Amino acid sequence: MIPDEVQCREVVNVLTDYLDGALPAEQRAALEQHLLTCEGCTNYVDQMRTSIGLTGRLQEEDVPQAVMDKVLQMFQDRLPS
Amino acid sequence: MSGTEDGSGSRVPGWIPVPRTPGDEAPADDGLARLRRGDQAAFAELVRRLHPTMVRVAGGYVSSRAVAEEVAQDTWVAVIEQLDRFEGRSSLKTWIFRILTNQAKTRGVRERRTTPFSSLVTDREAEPAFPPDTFFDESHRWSGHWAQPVPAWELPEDHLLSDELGHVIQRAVDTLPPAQRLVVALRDGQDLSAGEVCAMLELSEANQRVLLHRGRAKVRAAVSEYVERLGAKV
Ligand SMILES: [Zn+2]
Repeated sequence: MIPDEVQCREVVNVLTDYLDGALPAEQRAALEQHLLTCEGCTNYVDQMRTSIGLTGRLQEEDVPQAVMDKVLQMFQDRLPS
Repeated sequence: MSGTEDGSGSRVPGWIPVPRTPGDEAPADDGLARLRRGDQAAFAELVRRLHPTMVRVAGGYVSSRAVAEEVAQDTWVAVIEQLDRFEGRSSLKTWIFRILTNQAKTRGVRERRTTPFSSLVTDREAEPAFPPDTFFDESHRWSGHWAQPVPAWELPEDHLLSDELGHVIQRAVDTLPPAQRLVVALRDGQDLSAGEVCAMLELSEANQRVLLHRGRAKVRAAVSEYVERLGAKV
């Protein structure tokens, strides 16, 4: 990837490596250079970060009350009283 | 696509990382002390945060949702029994998911199921996550660049937190191919590190990243669709 010739397609292709800090230094520099001038890619990266953050909301799903009661009961039974 | 095999989540200089707590850092107080004291509220909170993902992950290995639910509940039994023996070398969450995946794998073997990762080679070669007209083709002066503008998402705070969007995310993750689903649910859903997820699922760093990459692209696309629908409504 030569800085001037970075294509948006490549940015999208290596984004996960980039976010994981797994991109070699020159590629990383080229990508960041590209982001400075490309609105589409900048928005795409922002969208991806938002989307990743939103996926963390899976921790807010509901646990069926019956399951919760059962597991809590097991926890309580373990206690030396 | 080459990269160093450093999945430790090292930070990119000048890059503002997604706010998250990497699971591979020094295990902070997971509320472990409270759990050992028998704090019900702390345990309930842990179950609330982890259980749905546990069922989802177990579901990648076993034959039905009911069996997956059973595996998740068996995992809680093991966690409760072994809580005093947990040495805190990993985070509590990582430890729990390791117990879960081990139990799910054992159960899957008993059911003679193939693992969700057995079709990985074909999965890697699956069609790209984008429609072919997303980027300009070779004949174009701007070959490889966006063919249509990528608009910034306008998502007010209350929409970010809406149940509707929560369900969009759930549905998007749950309709991913199993291997992608597990990786996305653990990496992004539970903030586990690449290294932890690779060890848990017995995946190479490279395969883990390909699965995460494809899965993330689809979840983003689902959110994008939601945002567009929202924009159309206003
Ligand atoms: Zn671009």
